[in-house]
Amino acid sequence: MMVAAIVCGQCAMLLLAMVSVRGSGILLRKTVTPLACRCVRAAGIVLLGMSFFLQMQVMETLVIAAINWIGVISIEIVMTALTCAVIKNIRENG
Amino acid sequence: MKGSFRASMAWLHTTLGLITGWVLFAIALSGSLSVYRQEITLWMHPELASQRVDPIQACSRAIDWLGQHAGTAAAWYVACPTPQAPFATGIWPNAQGAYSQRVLDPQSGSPDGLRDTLGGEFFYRFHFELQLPYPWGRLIAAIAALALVVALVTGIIIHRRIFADFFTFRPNKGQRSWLDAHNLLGVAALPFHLMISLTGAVTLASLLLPWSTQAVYHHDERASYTELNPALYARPASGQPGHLVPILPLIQMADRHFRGAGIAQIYVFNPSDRASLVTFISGNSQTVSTSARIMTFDGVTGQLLNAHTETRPVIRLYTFLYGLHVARFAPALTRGLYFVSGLALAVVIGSGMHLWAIKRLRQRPHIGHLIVNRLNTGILAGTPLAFATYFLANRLLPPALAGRSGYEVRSVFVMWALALVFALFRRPGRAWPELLGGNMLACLAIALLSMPWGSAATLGAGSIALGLAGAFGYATLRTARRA
Repeated sequence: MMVAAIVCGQCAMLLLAMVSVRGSGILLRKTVTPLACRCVRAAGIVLLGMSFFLQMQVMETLVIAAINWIGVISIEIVMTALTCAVIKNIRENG
Repeated sequence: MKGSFRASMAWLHTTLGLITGWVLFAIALSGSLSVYRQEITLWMHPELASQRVDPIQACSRAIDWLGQHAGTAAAWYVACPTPQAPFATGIWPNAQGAYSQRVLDPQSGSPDGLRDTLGGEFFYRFHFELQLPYPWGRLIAAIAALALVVALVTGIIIHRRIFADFFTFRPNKGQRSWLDAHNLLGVAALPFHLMISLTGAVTLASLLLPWSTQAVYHHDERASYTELNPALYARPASGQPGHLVPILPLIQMADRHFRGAGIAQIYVFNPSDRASLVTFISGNSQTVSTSARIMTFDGVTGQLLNAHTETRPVIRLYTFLYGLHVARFAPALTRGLYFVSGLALAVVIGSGMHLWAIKRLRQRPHIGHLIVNRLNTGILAGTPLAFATYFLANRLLPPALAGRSGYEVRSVFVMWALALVFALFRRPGRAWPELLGGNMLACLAIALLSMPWGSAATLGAGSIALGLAGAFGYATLRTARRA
């Protein structure tokens, strides 16, 4: 359950990065239509909610689940940013 | 402070960061380490065999030992064993008022054969006392915590492209990369940073806002303390000798009363006097809040004098916020996240300080900027080196050395001073890789000294030290290439 929560959160972050100002140019090759952009963002938010729901199932109390979720999400944000940086570096340097 | 609102906030953010940055960096780093203070204490006592401990028997033996060896002390404070810390800790004052603190063997109740060290308690105390006398250390920590709250809020205000740059990190771009790292870690862990700084300031609120207590209790600190903790009070010694009742039945009674929460601490006031008191404080690791049930017995008759379970909403709110800060409730994953987020806070503070210096050195550098830049190097690379020295001193000093816990603590400050002096007189381009390389070697040595990684404490310390050694090694290579 915990692994599922972490995977959901990481996927959510990647989806949100895909439709972010800088991330879209790195993670996607083509320009995304506004409708597709909204759909991807909505999917990201749903996955984010799902990861929180799964955290709640694992943890005994809501407070601890919220603290864990915030902590895990912050690591996932950094991981996503580093992933974007690595992909950009690979593209630019062949 | 001129110009637009955003410019004013930028000024405030920079000024607060500049004034409190060095202290906050040390506070954040020691706070992160104190998440694992029990495990560090265990690592620093390799003599302690890893075995199942009966907390009731261990506490009883500890108090028996204190009775034989510190009978004339004004009070004994005993922290009972827990699954994370399977040993009792005794604290007692000597005739001069100086406190002794020793880990007590759970089988014998004695500190004999165990090295004299403060263990993880050093980081915990340093985190909010900064090794300064009361109230100065706590006051500085409280002001720094409040400054951090303001710096975080102003940081959000001045970050123009908070959403556009949400997933942005551009390496190899000098000042831009430092700004990206500062923003990325600051924004990603912002909820944790806000929570930890706000709860830190609340924890020390009585120092920041002492006037309400002074007005209500007319400078009578004892009265305010008694009202906050109705069952936890100390009466003056009568001057007539008295003998403590057998402690084991009292411990068992308190344990039954606390119904599974266990006993966290036992206080014995005036142990050799007719006015002795024995106070039991329940464990609170099952809830976020640190509020505990308290029972106080007459030490001579064994009669229950007072019992209190906290129900007052304001105090429960305070203990909840305090509990969020100290994370005693936290399961392993949550503690790991506290540790990582604390390190992230140290990096945010460190990158901000470094950014301030390199930005000004590129513009119109003057002697002040040059000195700050060099001191930054000493603090940012010297603090982790000083803390690592504490671990090394624990293993390198002779176990039977008299006053060795004092030498361990002194080793931290000696290394810190050496790092600062080194950074002050060495070109920063050279000082950075050399100090970072020193950190790498120190962490590698800690990992080696943790061998054979047989217990949870040595496995945890060894693997974290190895990970940090890798990070410092990478940073050493990067900075050496640019030197």
